Amino acid sequence: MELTPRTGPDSEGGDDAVSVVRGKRRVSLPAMALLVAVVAIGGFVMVNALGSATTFYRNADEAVAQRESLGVKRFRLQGTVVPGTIAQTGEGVTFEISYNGVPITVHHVGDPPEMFKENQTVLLEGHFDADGTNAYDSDLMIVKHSEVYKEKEQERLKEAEVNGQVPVTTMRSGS
Amino acid sequence: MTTETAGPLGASDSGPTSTGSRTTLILGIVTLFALGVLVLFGLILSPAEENQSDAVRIMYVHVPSATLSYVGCFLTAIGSAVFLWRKSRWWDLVAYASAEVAALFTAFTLVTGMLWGRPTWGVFWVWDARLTSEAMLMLLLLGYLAVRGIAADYEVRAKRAAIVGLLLVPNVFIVRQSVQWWRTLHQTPTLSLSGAEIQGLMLFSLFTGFIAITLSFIWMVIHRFRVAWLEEQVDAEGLDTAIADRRAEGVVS
Repeated sequence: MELTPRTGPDSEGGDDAVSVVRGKRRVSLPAMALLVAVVAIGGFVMVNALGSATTFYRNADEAVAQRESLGVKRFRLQGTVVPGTIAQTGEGVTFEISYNGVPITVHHVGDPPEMFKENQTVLLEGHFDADGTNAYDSDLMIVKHSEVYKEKEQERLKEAEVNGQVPVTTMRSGS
Repeated sequence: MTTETAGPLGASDSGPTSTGSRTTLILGIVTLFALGVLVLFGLILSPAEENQSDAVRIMYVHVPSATLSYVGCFLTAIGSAVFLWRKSRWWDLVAYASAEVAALFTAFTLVTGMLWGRPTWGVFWVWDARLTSEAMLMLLLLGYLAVRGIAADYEVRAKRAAIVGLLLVPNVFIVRQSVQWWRTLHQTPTLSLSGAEIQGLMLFSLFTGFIAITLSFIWMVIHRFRVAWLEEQVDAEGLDTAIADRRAEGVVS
């Protein structure tokens, strides 16, 4: 607790001296610095939020519809991986995604995330190919997952009931 | 320590006289037990998930801690409102204690979310609406604590903090609705009024998570409140002593 010196220039009366100091607003430097830092970071976060939150990604059908205006501009693309289209390439993986029945061929550079597989919804970062086709070159892949959670074992049991035998294949795509 | 020396604002409030009590000791033991049950179900008894395998287990702490951070923000807003209305020091310190615990739970939500995002999404962080609004909530809570830290008269400090405290409610609402309003990477809620998209032992594990994290939250807020209350008593007592000293000196000189 900070209090006035007992023999200061303006310590005429005890009560007055104490109440004057109590009422005075002393803003400490570290607290001000922290406040400024918080406001600065908050501003940065706000700009990021407003800049990218509203059109965080385009679905495949919207991207194809806006093909002309998008050109080779960078944007995020969402779609579901079409079964049977995944193929490894030297630098990554190529596959088709589709949304509302509109497909786009994707050339992805880099290792896909662990959860990447057929019928998975993926978010890609990249741009349409410079040759003017609807092919999309991506260098960042994010796998979306739904709010639905299912037990692994239960699924196997269900399949076992249907097929009459326990499936030996794993859930993960090995392609 | 008794509360006769309560400050000018809280003279009519009665508060704790120690940081511990028999009731909260039992609460603490029950909380530890619940955390043990959570570990048992979350890490051992519950099954792996179809797509996410074992990464799904992070949900059992991530979702409850996010929910309790919202509860903490609401409690802070209520405490702030009652302080502004009635100048109750008791409620102001409830708001303070709750904000500090809410900040802790929000940080925990962010950290567990990032650790969950890396193995499932493939990235720790994206600037989507949910993650961004949650980051803003964290900053607002830090702002609340920073405003409290600026040295000023008790009433001035508490009033400033209470105004920030009220802003927490709209922010929580934005975080909660972000996945419905905007396109986000983050999935929509699993638990809703229309039902749960999770069954069996996984649902039960999430339930044990809610119990354990809720008990932890209550225990932490109560103890943080007691410490804050006792600190204020010591401050007020110190001031009274100092005033008495100066009065005595004034008489002598």
